[in-house]
Amino acid sequence: MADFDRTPLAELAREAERAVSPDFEQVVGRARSRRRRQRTATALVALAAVGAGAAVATALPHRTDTSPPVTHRSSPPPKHLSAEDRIRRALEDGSTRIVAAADPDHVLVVRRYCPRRAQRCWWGSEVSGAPASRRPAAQVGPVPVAAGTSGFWIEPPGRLLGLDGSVHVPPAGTQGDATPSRPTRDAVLGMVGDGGFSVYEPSRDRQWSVQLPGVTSPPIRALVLTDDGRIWMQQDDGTRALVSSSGDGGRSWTRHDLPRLASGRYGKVLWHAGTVGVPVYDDHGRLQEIRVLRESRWTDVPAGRFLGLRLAGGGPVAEPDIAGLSDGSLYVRDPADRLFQAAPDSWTSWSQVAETPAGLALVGSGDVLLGIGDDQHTVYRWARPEWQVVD
Amino acid sequence: MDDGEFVRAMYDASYRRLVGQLVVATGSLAEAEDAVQEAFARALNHARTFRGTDNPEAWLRVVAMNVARSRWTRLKRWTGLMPRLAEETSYDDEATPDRIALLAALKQLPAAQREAIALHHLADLQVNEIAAQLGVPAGTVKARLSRGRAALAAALRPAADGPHTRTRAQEVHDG
Repeated sequence: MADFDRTPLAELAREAERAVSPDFEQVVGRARSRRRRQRTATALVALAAVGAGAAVATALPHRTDTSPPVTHRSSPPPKHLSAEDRIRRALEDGSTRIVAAADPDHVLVVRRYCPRRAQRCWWGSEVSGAPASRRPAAQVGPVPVAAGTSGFWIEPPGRLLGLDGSVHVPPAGTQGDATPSRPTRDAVLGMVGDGGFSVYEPSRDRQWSVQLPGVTSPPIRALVLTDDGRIWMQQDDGTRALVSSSGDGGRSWTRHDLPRLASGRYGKVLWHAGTVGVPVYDDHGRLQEIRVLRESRWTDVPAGRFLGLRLAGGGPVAEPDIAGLSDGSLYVRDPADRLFQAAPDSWTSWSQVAETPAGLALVGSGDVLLGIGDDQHTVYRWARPEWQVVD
Repeated sequence: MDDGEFVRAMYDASYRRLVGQLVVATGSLAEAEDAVQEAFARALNHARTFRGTDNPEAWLRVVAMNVARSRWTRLKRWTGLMPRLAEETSYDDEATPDRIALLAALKQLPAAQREAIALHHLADLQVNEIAAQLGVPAGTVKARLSRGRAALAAALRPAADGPHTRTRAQEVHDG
């Protein structure tokens, strides 16, 4: 025991301590969000669970946890749980995540259910705006958990639905989301935390084959599929951003790494106005600039121009939520729950278009802007000039 | 100082240190930061209770580790079913090979061993204190420490002699 050299561990811990940027406001926002969720006494959720084969309506129990912390111990699940109980359990467990995709007429919401200590997860899907008779046409998965993918294959017509980034737990202040999607019949992209990013293709028997081994380290922060068919992948460790692009489905990659920041940190890679951009935040989470890749070189959008958004809003834009659509339109939600839209050909011209539900996490999904409420379950669709609940 | 200000003061004093400890316990800076933030959010929502605890930093550490453990349990269902993929890492990260290697080595350990190592070697808790915190016998903690240290040492041991040797963890990482 005395021979163990703790120096590398201590250095690792010190590096981590230096890398983080404490911001108490994030904690305050997070605590507020928790209180809002706890105030929600019940939430009626209509679910169609794949495997259960029927829509299930369930009410979430009111939960107030004021007990002191105790060491978490999972208890064995009772046998023969009903589908409804499984779903409730999954929701209580906090493991239900949402991936949303859309076409111009319908919004397809896919939820993953991973009950505590279950041997497998399964998927539930709902289609809004479609008559019940059409709903089976949007059958989803189930995606085999063994493949480790959180992509989805929908048939017909075959559509890439984006990726659930929630498996890799993002830092506070961000929320798990789905990357912009693009119709395709050729590939499905999978992404898991430690398993990294993989490319999967469905074979004739609808099984999944891995086309690319997992990319595991550093952690993947964001994936973007652009309308020119490229995949953009961003990995980072706070102050450094490793950006790669692939034009052949992930078989080969070109690096476009960003330099280490002296202070602050990078946000998620974006696609807008025909170019890729990466936001830069200061140590307080305020948007400073966006670095845009033009002709293989990163150039800064002048902070003063971009900060016009901040000045117009009357306060600092801390941890803005940014989402891009396949047509290149770009939206920003600020902490005051205001929605801004960028001009289609510019990173610098913004206008406020609406307010958003509190704590909405924006999801750019194809050509439709969606939002996931801070209960992690309610899905909204942006139908100018207002948000509509997808039910 | 009101209860909220007390949480704020604890945040200023303990946040970085807790993240450092959780990095070793989780093998991930992002997960560590998220778990510690979540712990402080819960402290803020129960500020009076939190302030009345004997050791607020220990309270935060327990909550953060519980949060991380819950997420790890869910994640394990995925990664545990695809160990081959996890081993086939081919993406180079030349900038920080030592840190990547150490993180890779930590990730090879069972979560329980990582926690024990973090609590003992970074939080400076004694075996009995760890046992009480985790709710397991002291002998179990000793076994986790012993096995974890042995596995970590083996993973970080140079694979061959010479000035440019790479650790086994680096080899795994580099494919």
